[in-house]
Amino acid sequence: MRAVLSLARLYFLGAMRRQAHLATLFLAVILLMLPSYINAFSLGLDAFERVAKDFGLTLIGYFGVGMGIVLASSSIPKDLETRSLYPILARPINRWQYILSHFLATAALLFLSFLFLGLALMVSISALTRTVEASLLIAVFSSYLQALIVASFCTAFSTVASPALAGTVGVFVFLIGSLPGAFIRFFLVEDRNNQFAAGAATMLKSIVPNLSIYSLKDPIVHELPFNHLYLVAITLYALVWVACAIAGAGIMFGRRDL
Amino acid sequence: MSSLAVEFKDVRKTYRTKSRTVEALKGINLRIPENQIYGFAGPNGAGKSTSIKILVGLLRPDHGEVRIFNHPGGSNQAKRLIGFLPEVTLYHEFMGALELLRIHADIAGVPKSERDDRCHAALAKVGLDDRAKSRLKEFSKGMKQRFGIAQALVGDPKLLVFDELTSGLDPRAQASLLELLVDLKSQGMTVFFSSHHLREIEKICDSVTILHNGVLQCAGPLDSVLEDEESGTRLTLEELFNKVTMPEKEEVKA
Repeated sequence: MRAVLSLARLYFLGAMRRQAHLATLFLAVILLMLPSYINAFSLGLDAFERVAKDFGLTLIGYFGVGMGIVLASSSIPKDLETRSLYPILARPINRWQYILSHFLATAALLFLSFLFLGLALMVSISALTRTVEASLLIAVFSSYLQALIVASFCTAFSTVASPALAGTVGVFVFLIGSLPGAFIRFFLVEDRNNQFAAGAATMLKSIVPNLSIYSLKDPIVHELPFNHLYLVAITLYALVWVACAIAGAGIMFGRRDL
Repeated sequence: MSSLAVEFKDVRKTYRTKSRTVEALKGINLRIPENQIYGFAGPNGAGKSTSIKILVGLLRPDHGEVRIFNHPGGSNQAKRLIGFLPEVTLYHEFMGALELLRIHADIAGVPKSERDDRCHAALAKVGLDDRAKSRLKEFSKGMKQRFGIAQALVGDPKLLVFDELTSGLDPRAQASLLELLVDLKSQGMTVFFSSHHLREIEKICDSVTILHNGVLQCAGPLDSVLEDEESGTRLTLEELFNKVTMPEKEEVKA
């Protein structure tokens, strides 16, 4: 495990060198200013708080998934391109451990980014409402789990495909996984009566993780009742999918000639 | 008789793409004794890098077997005994030499209590101990190759595998690296290295192999390989290389 953590540290520092965190800082500045702007246009209505929360959480969610896709799709291909993985894989380390170290580095960087952005949103909204809006961090955490699953798929496919293809797979998993079942039934079956498209969409939905369960924005923004055990369940669900993706990547990469 | 460091038994490897199939190794048999400097020569595309990648476990042979100190090639037991420096490697240049070497020591399974001592010893061996805290991006190409040797040494291997070690270096840096290889041999290590510089192989190697089109043309102790049975004279390695790798030219002459 020391080897994996040591390598993960190396890849984490490498990702930092690529200045991925600067995009996080930029978004954090936007999030810090967002509630004030929305408040200025709210004409005295108190709905600004919900709008700012909703808009901020949506921004964080999409940004995190995008960041996860970019980081996870490119880190292993970059190692292959520079051949810096040769002296590493010639060591007594299994290829799945190498993949795991890359994924852990991505996961750590995403965690810090989500935490930073979540805190920026919380501070900016709390400053206007004069109450500590800690529940926002729950929604941010669920978005993090969602980004983690998408990143694990990108990491897996980047072991056998180009960064562009691995990234496309990530976008595909995100879109299909986030698609609500009701959307398929309504638009494809009831509205358009397109049984084939509905069947294909249902099949695709059943082979990719269900990411719609990570949408905790509505209960948090509208302060609806929320069972905290749900958070445990969706965390376990994410860990299972991540483990499957990394194990699959280990098998695929293990067979690959370098 | 010394034991074997490396053994290739009828190793074959074919690369298949959509448009063509290339037989890179056509049944290689090779036995490398322990505590030797073993030179590996051949023209571009002869199969040297493929052989080396199979040796260090980056490629799997389609057929045959490789054994490293009697452990199966590619296994973690075999990898523990190997230190490898590939032909072209771009290191994580933003890191300091000691910092990156520590990571390599961790991957090589060096106990944490010994890690720093081993890293400093490896850097001292290649003459970079005074640059331990410098970032790799500040190093010249020769220094990077020296660092590469240090990372190969940090796991305390018995077999060192270097692919085109002196490629692109100036004569002084080349000579200094060759001296280092001789020194490593004197410390009990087996050194296996490929090179296009035939004179350096001739200068420091105990044994040599010439590979051409995926077939071993000759292999063995340098003196016996260079002995030309037809004329009864000793060839230079360059003459032998030309003789075994350019049969088409001779046919044209005839």
